[in-house]
This record gives sequence, structure tokens and C-alpha cells, in this order.
Amino acid sequence: PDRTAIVEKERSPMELYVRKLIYGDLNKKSLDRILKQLRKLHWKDEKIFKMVLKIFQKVWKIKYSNIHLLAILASGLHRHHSDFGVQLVDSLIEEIRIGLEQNIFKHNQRRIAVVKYLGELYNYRLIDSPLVFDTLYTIVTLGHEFGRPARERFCPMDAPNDFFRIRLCCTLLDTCGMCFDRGSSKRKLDYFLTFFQMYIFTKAKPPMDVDFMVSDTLEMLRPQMHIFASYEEANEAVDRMLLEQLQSVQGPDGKVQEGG
Amino acid sequence: KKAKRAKKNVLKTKIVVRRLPPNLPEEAFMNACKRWIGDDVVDYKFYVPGKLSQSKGKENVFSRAYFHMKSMDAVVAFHQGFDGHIFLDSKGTESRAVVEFAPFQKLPKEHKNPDTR
Repeated sequence: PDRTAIVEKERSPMELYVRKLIYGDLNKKSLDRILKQLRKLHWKDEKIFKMVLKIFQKVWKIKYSNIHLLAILASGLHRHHSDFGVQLVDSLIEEIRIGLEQNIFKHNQRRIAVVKYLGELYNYRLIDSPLVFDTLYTIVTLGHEFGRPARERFCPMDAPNDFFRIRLCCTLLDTCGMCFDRGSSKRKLDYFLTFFQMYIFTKAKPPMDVDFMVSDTLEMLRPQMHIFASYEEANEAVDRMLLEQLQSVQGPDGKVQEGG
Repeated sequence: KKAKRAKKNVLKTKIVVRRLPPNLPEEAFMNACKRWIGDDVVDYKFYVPGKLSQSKGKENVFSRAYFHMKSMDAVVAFHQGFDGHIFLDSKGTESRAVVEFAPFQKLPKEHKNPDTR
């Protein structure tokens, strides 16, 4: 063939070892041992630091059912190397954001894995609830004019027949939504679910699997919640909710406009 | 409508600069914005180089940078001065930098006891 042979990537023994730990050995029983091994690495060595960070960022390369284990490891490492934790979270947020902007179909599975991971990082205390809500709202509003999706405004980045963002939200909510059951985070989740319902109504009629996914999520989080029957009803509820929030904040709201 | 984003208590002073050219060296970037990020206003800098894709099937990865500013004024000044800054590469591709609050506001902290190996 006129193509040159694919050259195998060369990896340092250290990288091969870390890859073996994460891709091969990682399971519930080996978790503690792996964390100890990782802590023994030369964290001061920039190359090693970056190599480990990369493996932790590419969460879609591990088994989906192991994602929470990687989150536990990340959280454990963060306790001793907070620069690692901070860079990891910053990168994941960017990954989610760029995923929304580019919206490339072949990346869908990896995007699901990343939001799941973010949810697990909340469960294991590396991030706090405002970041989760921020991400949820980013998912449903990014690219929409006035930061508010509406049926009458077409958004090229998030077309009416594209339901993938609904899946992202459900995945994130399924992972850590049940923790928002008291106090201000409970209220925030109620607000978000109202907004989320309105968002879903801005779409074309969802396929059955998406429909079921949404109702399962809502059923799990808020079995008693009022489910809106129409776009108009949901939209009005969002109006009322935003007004209420505005009144409770009072004074100057929005600072520098975000987004561009 | 932005009300839900505005945090009332803590000011967001960690910011992110996104959508920088994939092959932009750190020095070139720091040079381009040095007017706003002197040591007197910034106490945390972090640059993440992007990557030009090697194959057609993959996308470029943008570079990005994080700063923590000591005051909100510095954030506003930087945003006004640098948001939308256009970088041109040798092939004439334009990249428009975006300055935003970083969604994740935490910074690395000093560890009292380094992890014993």
C-alpha cells in the first residue's frame, strides 16, 4: 500500500506502568493499592505529572462502570496534589464545553463518559454543587440567544431535532442528582428541573428512548414533581421562577457578560 | 436572565482564556497579554498548550490559559482589553480569544506536608 506502516507509539516504562494500573488492574479491590502506587510517583517531574493527568482526563478510555473508581483515585490524589485536581477539573470542564461547541457525533460516547465522571467527582468531593449546576445550565443554554432556549429561536449549535444535550443532563443528574435533596441545592435542583422541562419542550418530539430516559430521571429525583403538559406552561413557569430569583437577589445582577 | 449565574457572595476572579491557537507558544501568548497580567494583579497563571491534529479525522485542540486576578477591576480590565483578541498564524488562520470566568474557581493550595513517597 502507498501508506506508510503505522508506527507504534513509544511509551516510557513509567507510562506503561500507570496505564497498566488504570486500564488493566483497576477494580474495587485494587483501588487502595493503586492509589498508593500513584502517590509514589515522581510528582515533581513535569513529564510524569502530565502523563498521569492525561490518563485521568481521558476517562472515556476506561470501562464505563469503572468511572467512579477513577473519580475516587482523582479525589485521593487531589488531597495531596491539589494542582493535579485543579488542572483535571479545569480540563474536564473545557472538554464538556468544547464538546457542546463542536457537537461531533462520533464523540457522543466520550461526552457521556465525561459528564458521568464530573458527577462522580462531585460524589467524591472534588467539586462542589455550584459547578454541577453551572454545568447543567451550560449544557441547556450554550449557544442559545439570551442564554435562554426558546421554541421560536433556532440555534444552529443545538438544533431542535438534536436530543443529545438531554442525554448529557440526564446522565449528570442520574449520577449525582440524588445528593441535592436538602437546603439550597434542593431548591436549585427544583429550579433546574423546571428549566430543563421547558428546554425539552423547545425540541421536536423526542424519540421514545429519550422520553423514557427523562421520565426515569425525573421519577427518581422528584417523584412528586408537577410535570408540565405544554411548552407554554413550562415557559410561564420559567418566567415566574426567573422573576422570583431576580427579586431575591435584588441589586446589581449580571457582571461582565459571559460567552462570546 | 443572567441572574442565575451571578454569584452574590464570592467574586469570581479566576478566569479562563479559551480558543487560543493550538500551536501558540506560551511565551507568545503571555507577551500578547502582558499589559493586563503583571505580577501586581495576577497571582496564578497557568497555560495549557493545545495540539495540532496529526490526522484528518481528528480536531485541533485549542490552547487555553487560566489566571487568578487579585481584584475584580483587573478582571474587568483584562476582559475589556483582551476578549476577542485575534491571533493570526502563518497560514492566515484567525483565532479569536475568549475571556470568561472559569467555571471552576478553585486554585491549587500549598500542601503543608509533601506526600511521603
